[in-house]
Amino acid sequence: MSFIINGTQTEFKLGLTVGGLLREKEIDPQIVGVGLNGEVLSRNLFDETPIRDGDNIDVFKFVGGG
Amino acid sequence: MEDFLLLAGQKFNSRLLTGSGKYRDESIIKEIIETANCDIVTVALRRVDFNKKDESVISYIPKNKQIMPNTSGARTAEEAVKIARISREIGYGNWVKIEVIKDAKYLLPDNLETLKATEILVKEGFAVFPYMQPDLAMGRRMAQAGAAAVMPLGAPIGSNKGLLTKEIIRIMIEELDVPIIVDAGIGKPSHACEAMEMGAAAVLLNTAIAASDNPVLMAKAFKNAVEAGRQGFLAGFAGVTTASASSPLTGFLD
Repeated sequence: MSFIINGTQTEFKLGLTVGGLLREKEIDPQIVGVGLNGEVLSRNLFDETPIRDGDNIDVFKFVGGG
Repeated sequence: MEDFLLLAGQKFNSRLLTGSGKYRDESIIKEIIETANCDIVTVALRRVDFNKKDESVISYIPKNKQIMPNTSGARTAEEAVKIARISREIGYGNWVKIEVIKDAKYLLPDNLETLKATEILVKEGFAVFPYMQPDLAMGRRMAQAGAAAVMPLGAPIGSNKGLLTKEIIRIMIEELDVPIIVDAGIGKPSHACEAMEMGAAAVLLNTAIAASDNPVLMAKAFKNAVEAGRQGFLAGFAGVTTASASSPLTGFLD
């Protein structure tokens, strides 16, 4: 099973949640925003949202900008 | 005399808004913000690079500052709306600077797409700050759509050319009932001062400070320039005449 995260095809094990994925990537969930298949995923749903085969996940954070 | 900037129902003392981009070392941003004494700081949203463990730019911005995420990278209203929604979910409030750009050469914003995004996001409860090419009719439409302020450009982003669009900005300040924030093109403190003298509510700049040889000193210069321009505007300028002596015109011994 695989999904796309930030444009990269990635393999995953069943049962992985978005919150679990962020922890695996050592990303603080408090500083990121997540898009799941083009929709905004609320932060309080990270840990209860399972990743499904073919999902397209984008993880964003704030960077310097004008 | 009490003078504050009122934006989206909030009062601010500073009329200088700064961007957090283009710094070679982002750890300097805190000192820049403190020296410029600004209350509002812009940031951008990008995908996380999982190979880099760098800090979020937010960690360099003092907590009491208002964060204004921009929608840079958006080429359509739809993309801008998406960026705004994700930015809000990160949890630094509901402000958003709409920036929709398709023009890769001059980086000029697309006013129509910007208006569309403004209309959608106002309805979703955002405080919307559209960055636009100076245009009275479009500025009016953005104000009518509920924009918290309208942000016409002085010159192309990062060009440092100053207020090339001065007359249209002047007309917008005169005719629109929303705050006008001059955004982009301001390269020197004198440009910022001039915008404030014209009655702009505020100025937003980034490159002029970030790309200067001494960003901290430049931040201080812009703080002083914005304050001077505002005070001049509030004081009211003496009229322009052909000539008018400052000293008595009678002969010295009369």
